[in-house]
Amino acid sequence: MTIAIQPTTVPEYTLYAYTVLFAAVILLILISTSFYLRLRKRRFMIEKNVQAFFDQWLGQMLLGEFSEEEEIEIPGELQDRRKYRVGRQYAINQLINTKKNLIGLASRNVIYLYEKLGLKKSSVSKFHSRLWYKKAKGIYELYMMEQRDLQPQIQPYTNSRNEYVRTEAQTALLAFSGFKGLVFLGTLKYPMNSWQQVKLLEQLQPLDPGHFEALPAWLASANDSVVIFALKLAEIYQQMQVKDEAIACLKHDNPKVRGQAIQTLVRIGDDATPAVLEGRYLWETEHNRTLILEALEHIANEEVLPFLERELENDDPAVKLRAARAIARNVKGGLGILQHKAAAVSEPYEKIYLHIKSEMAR
Amino acid sequence: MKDLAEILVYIIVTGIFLYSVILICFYIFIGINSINETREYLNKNEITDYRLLAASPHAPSVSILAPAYNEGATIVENVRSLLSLYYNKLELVVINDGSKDDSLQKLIDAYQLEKVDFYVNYRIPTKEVKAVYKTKHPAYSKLVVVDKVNGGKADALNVGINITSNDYIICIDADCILEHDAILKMVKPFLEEGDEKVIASGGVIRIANSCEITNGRLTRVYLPENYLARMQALEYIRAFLLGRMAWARLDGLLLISGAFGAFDKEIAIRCGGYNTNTVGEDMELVVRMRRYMHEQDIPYKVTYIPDPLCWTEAPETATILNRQRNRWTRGTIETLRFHKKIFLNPRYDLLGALSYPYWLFFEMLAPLIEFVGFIVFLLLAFWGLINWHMFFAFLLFIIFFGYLNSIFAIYMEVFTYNQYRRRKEIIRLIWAALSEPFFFHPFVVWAGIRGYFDFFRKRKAWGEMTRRGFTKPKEQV
Amino acid sequence: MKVLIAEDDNLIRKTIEIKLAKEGYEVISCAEGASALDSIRSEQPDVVLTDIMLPAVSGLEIVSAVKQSEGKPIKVIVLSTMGQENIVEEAFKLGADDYMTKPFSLTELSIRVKKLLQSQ
Repeated sequence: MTIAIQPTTVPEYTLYAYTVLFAAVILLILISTSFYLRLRKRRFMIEKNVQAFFDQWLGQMLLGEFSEEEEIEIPGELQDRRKYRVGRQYAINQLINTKKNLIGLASRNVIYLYEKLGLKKSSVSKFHSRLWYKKAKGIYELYMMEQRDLQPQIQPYTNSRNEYVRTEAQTALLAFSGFKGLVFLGTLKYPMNSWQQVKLLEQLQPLDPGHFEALPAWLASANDSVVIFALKLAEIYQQMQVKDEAIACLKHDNPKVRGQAIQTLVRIGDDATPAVLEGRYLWETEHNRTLILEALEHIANEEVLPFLERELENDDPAVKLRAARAIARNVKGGLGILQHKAAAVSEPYEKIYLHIKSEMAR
Repeated sequence: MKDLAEILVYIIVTGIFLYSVILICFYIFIGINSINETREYLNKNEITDYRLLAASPHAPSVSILAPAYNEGATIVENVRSLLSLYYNKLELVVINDGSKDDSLQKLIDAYQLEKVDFYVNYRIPTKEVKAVYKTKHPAYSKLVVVDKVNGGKADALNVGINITSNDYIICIDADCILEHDAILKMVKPFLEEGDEKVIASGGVIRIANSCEITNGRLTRVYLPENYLARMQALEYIRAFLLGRMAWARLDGLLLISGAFGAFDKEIAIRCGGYNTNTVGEDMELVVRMRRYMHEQDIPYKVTYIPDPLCWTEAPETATILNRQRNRWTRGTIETLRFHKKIFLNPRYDLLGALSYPYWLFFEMLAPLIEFVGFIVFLLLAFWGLINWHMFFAFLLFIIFFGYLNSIFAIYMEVFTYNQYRRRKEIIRLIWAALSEPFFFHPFVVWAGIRGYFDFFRKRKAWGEMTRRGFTKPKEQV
Repeated sequence: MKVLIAEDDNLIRKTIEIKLAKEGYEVISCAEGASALDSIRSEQPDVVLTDIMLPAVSGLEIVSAVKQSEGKPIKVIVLSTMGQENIVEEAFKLGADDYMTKPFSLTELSIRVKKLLQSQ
């Protein structure tokens, strides 16, 4: 039996040497731990110091009226020096935070202070950094502070290879030019995940909707996530004019696109939609079938009643319940139909009837 | 006879040595992966505004499932704290698992609950649901309380899965303390899914002993005063900050702690929910879900969040800790036995090639191997066969490597989330690490061995952890 | 007149505090729900301004506690974020008097506080 490493082939002193090596590494780690701890503490103290006066100072400044010529006094701790870096970053973060919570005079003052304190320089240098996370952060700071002059430089990054830089650049475009900024959807090469879509939709929420001319083109995009996003836009902003395109998406190859189309049609469909959804039911994945039933809970009509009554007999109790809910909520005398069913076959329809009844009473 | 003994000894000693070398390689590998994954996570989320998820109509719906058994002392307060978590599309399902105390009545009184007609879908077979309660009070509209016949934690969680109609479930222990943005952070990985379906997401558990807790909320973190709890604090840092983080990077996580984990409900149901025949139901579910995805050939991922979001009380007495570790060992043995098909099976990719073998050799068998090693050592010493120079060199080598691992974990704690900010606390943590091989470690190994005994005796003692409860000090006043 | 602010963001709390103090109100502020409930009991403010998302005890519960408490009537303004319309609805069911959506304007806030106090 020959094994390369055997305890007998390893001389003790090799083991001792390794032990000493471990000890040395341990010592090294301990030293850097102690160093980090001290660094953290220092940073914490600086932040605490800055915080102590900054929150009060900013609170006062936000309420002030400034004219362009007026010079404001920059507190010593916030001057543009290397050793005040931590404090200045704290200031940027707090200004952004304020911007998220306040509008009106206070929000205008936030931008005024950001510029007056020379913080833009710091954001721009982050934007020019090679490190993706710094670049993303720089873009974030710039659009939060409404630095529109950088839009042309930021725009190309909507197709950046790094997803974080890309998302921030896309958000920046919406922050700068509202719904017009959605043009990037036309050229987007990369997928957008749900989180990125939520972020973009939130950015659009306070704005005046418009510029939906390209919606049909996005709905036909080769990029599936663009189609999904466009379907969400159609849903939220009730873009009835793309109903046919949305219906076409019910036959898309990607089940996620089909799923979103089902949800969108709840909002932009018409009287014929329930029957259209019913027609797709058999062909759909289990997940999308659930989505169709959930859609019918909102929009079912007499036309799909036979279908729903059939699904009431489905083996899956969850399907039974959804079909029952769709009938009770949308069909005239729906609850009566369920009651009837319960009287005929008490198990399990009695319980289903009571469940739906109590649900509707709440 | 002597020859045979010598050959046997030779094989065993060589085996133990090889085992150590492989283990050390794994630890180094884990350390490196953990650094990279942690750094990436921190960079990615530095500017993330989680709050936009809280109110977004496009966020997925989530249910927290909190099984409770005889938690009357703390249940009302814990539910109040859970109801204040930031998330709009949230439902809080408290499952009263046939408590013998007045938990249910306390909940009914505090939250003005009323019985509702509810058609329970027993798609996962469970013990009978006695009643479902909801309230008309607008401040508690997220609350659902289910009263059921006692059936253990796994059964209670299955009832929760049956009751809820939301997309994702987050399973917690009812007495956990969650940070207020815990749900937001746990849900984000599911939204970030690309081509691979995210089926589960794990979170970090940290030790709440000695911490300042007011109104069901953690207000100040302290290192546990109790030695056993402090050792566990170190253990948890090592396990969560190093081990799980590294396995998450490889997407090889096998365990999501039962005290705080999120799952895709549809997949969980298709897998049949929690297994009620094991004491390690949390690990078993993750393994089964992964196995299911492999067998269905659907690309998937299990993610993991390193933020300290969930705080729990660790056992402070030897008896209870012993019972807990005993149970963990049995849970691991049972899970790995159920799924032995995965072992080195190419069909399961990394799961079969790395995760399963690692768990088998370095988690499940570790106490056994160490114990056997110790017995062999005693025998050899008895026969006078030990090369003492070699022995001490090797012992020192192993102990120092253990130290290196612990110290590195402490460094990562300071480097990342730094919950223990005081210098004194870090020094005490280091002392704890230094004492580990002599006190805590043998104890844990022994508890594991007892787990083996109990497993083979098929004794299914649940080893219920008698918790002290967070409110106790106040009640004494 | 006393105003109590329950808001977990330090800076926003501070800013509102300064604004309302300038208008001549006595201001008490709390960073989380549980201490807000205590202060409401002990300080008996005239107006409570509460965020919906608060740690420990939710804003809704504060509305409910204020409106159910005996003693002098206290006005409540709820601070929400966009997309929380359904929660605002629940807050009104519990008796909230007014609400504002973040981001909001400080001037508007102080006008609303004034109006509420005048309507008493």
